[in-house]
Amino acid sequence: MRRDALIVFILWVLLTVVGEAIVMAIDIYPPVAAVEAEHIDQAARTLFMLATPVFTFVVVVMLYSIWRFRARDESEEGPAVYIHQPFAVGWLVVTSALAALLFYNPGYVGWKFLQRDPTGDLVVQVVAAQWHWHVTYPQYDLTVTSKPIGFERMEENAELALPAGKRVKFEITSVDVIHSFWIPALRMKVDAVPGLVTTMYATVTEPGSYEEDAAFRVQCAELCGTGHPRMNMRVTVMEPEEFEKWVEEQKKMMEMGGGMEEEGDH
Amino acid sequence: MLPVIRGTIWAIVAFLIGAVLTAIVRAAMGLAPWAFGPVFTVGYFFGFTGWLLGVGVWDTWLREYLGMEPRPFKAEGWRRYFGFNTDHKVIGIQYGVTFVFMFLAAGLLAMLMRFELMRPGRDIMDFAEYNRIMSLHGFMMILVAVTAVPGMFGNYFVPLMIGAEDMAFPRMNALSYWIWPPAAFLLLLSPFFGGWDTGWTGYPPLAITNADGQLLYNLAFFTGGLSSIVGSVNFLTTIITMRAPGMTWGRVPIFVWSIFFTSVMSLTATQFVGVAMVMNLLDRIASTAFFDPVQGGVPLVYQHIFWFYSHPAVYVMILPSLGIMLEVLAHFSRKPLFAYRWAVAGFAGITALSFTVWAHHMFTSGMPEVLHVPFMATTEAISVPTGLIFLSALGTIWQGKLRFKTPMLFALGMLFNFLIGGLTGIFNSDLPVDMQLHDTFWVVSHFHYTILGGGIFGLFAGIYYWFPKMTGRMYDERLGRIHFWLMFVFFNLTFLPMAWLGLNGMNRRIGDYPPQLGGVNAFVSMMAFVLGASFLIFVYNMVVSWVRGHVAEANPWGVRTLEWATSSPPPEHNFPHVPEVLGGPYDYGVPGAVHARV
Amino acid sequence: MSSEAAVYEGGYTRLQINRMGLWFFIISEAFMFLALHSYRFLALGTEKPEAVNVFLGGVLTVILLASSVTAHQAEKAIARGDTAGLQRGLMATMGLGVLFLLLVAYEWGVAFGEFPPSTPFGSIFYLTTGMHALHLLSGIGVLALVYKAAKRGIFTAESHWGVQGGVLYWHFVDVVWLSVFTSLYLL
Repeated sequence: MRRDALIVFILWVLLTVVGEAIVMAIDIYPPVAAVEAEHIDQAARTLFMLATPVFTFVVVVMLYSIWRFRARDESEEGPAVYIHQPFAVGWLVVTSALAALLFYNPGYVGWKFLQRDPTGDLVVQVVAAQWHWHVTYPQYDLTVTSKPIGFERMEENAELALPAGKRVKFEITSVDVIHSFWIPALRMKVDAVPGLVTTMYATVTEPGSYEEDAAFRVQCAELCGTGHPRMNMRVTVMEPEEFEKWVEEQKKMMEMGGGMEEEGDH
Repeated sequence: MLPVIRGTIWAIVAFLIGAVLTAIVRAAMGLAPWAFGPVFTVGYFFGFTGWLLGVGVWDTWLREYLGMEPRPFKAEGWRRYFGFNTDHKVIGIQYGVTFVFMFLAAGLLAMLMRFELMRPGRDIMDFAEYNRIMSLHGFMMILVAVTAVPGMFGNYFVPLMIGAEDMAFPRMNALSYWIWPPAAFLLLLSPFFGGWDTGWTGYPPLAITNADGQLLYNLAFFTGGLSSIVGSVNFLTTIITMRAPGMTWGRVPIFVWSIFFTSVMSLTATQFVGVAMVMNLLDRIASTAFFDPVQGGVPLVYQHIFWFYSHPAVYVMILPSLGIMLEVLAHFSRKPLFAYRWAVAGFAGITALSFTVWAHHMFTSGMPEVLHVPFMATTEAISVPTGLIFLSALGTIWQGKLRFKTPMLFALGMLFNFLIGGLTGIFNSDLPVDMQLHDTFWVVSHFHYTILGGGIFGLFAGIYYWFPKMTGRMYDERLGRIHFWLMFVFFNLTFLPMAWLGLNGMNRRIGDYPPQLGGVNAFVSMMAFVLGASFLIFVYNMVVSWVRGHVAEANPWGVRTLEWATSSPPPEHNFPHVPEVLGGPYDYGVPGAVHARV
Repeated sequence: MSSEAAVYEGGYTRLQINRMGLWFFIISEAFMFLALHSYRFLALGTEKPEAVNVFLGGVLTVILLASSVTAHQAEKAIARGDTAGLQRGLMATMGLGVLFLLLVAYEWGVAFGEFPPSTPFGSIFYLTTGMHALHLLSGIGVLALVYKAAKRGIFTAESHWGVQGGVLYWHFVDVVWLSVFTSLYLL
């Protein structure tokens, strides 16, 4: 009994060390484009680190039992152990403490961080409609509209540009059904609800584009009908000077009336 | 005439009466008489009533209330499964066959989805078709997960395990089963009305404006909910009042406890989804304004009402399977169930908290910000009672004498899968991380780990465990093990990479995704096909063993609970007389301990 | 069946089992009205149109409370073995129920012009009162079955579960009305 428990304990510690090393070593996250996104990845990493000892404990006890406690003949019965009170109480205390801990950090602390500053240097108004994103920059009097033309022709699709280093406030709504405004590189989404304006804040960091990674895209994340998978557009984070240039270009294109006439097929 | 045929005829006649009446009333009100929504809805409720009356409610029930001689359904052999049979064992088999069939059908739809998702771009179907197939797959699987275990094993084994001769209300029990065929029929019919493309959650306003198939979804969900409620009234009353003498609450087998708490949730929360469905349906057919923003309605309230049912519903899916898991672990370790009272407290805690966590499905929905933190707290708190189930499971196998028969393999596999399901769920409950993970393939991975890896693995543990009792024959152990290993390995290979996909920007419910995710998707699809193929072995094993397997003894596993103390399959009234319970159901390792005298 | 000796743990009689089943059903139905009320408060808070006729609602409440009294008397009567009293009580209860439904129909007719079902308040008002009316209608149906059975003389002072069950259900529908009256008329 004591020997079994000791072996399991040693195996658990070993496996946990290995598990934590893996969690810290491997990078399974897509590129990051905002301060918030870095925090969210850090929160996920923290959760992986908290989950690892739980996972290894259950797996070690299971595998050890399977290996060690096989019945050798049909009549054999286990010991009549109904409960081990201190172990059960300890289990309850440890799991409660774990739940409380991860509620506080990364949960509560992380949420407060996301909510810390409800302002933005740049305001971006987003209106979702089956199956377009109408993105308006009120400070620049500019609107770009995406087309549901799919990933195959993504390079022809509209672009949502964000200036690096600026804090952006997204104001999001919908004119028909519920959509969800998601930019994976920002690690954030919020639903576009008809009759309601929802907000999302991000402090954008480094330049990046859809050509580098598909995390740089707007994707509708709430099922909204046939064109749902194609309700997306490219996202480009660029240096502020380039952003100003981009705005001018877009305005010229708008005057020429380009980019709006083509509808996607489903 | 077989009652099912008479029920069908009565249903058709009643449907036509209802439809024509509606058209006449509409014409009289100056409206277009043949509007699909109202005519079909009213016709359906007429047809539904006609079906129930024809299939047996009239004969066995209403005639008695009207002072006539009731004509109970009597049949032998295969015919007894096709009428209003009040024997809980027949009803258990009816549920089992129906829902295993539904599970396989919905699984085929999943194969189609994985075929489409194997490569980026459009392959075999357009996005509208994909959405419809995905919605049908999701909804059918939800119905299977909610119903299969309580319906099949709850009905068959709760009365046996507590030493009763039947359920408290046998006619209501039959009713709860015969409510299902109309719901299944609606699902079969829905593709002919354009299907529906909202997933199983049916969020308005999309669910108000899309194809008419949505109406059939509303009606089917409503109908299924009715059955759940009727069934849970019966389970609760049976478990409270019909335990054999000596079967005190401390001696009730853990599976019975799990059904008890499941019923508490089904009894109450199901009403909410019924109301949500009715409101949605009225918005569509009667232009009411519940969730229609154009008329001032509030779409978010649908999500609150819907999830107030649908989160408890996921515990309805998992609790009975956890019950089976603990049952099997104790018996196949030949050791008392560790921390029995703590496990019961775990079920009670999960049940109580399940009513307080619904809005964690809505963290990105735009709901008021004051709600976020409290719902994160309740959601993370629910991991504590769930942890007690793991305490019980691990404590039970520790130092036991384990026997690795197929049911035991499934129970251990379930423990592993549900562990991953639980841990991935923590990420979704965490507010910051959920901003990224909500509505992605991470969620798909998470709930398949809990519902398929947990709930359905538990279902299969139960099928193999109780197959000899239900059919009187043994299944093929070798094929059972092959099925387990294929299912377990390829289940994990299918669903673990999905978590990575979600983390890397693949949202759920889509027929297409960024090309850079193509490789992992191709891998997932391949694994999914093998997972799907593993069920062929299961079906072959079940069919062949049922027809010509070895005849099973009364107690082939040599275990202690009451259902094994009678013949396989049990006689009509289960026991020669009511058993007398003398001790706990898990007193392994105690010399001379007796659970019950039969 | 009710004569069968209690054999199970706890010694429940058939009557107690039936009563427990009905209570569970009632709890379940209460949750349906809870769901309806939750829409009312989540979507609309406590706002309501001026046109809601509180006086008429009060009259409806009085009628239903009176019907609960007559239902109770019917049950009392059969407990004494008084079948004629039972029938009188049932008749009065069903009559009050029908009167209630007629008044609701009148109220709907008027209110359709004031707050139609195409407004959020109208939607929840008609659905809630309609669901309640449907329950009342089914209550009348149950009492009608009980009345027919009473005429056949199957109820005795000792054994009259049919009456007890029907009356309990009727009381439940009345209590639900009080919640409907509070949430839609008074607040």
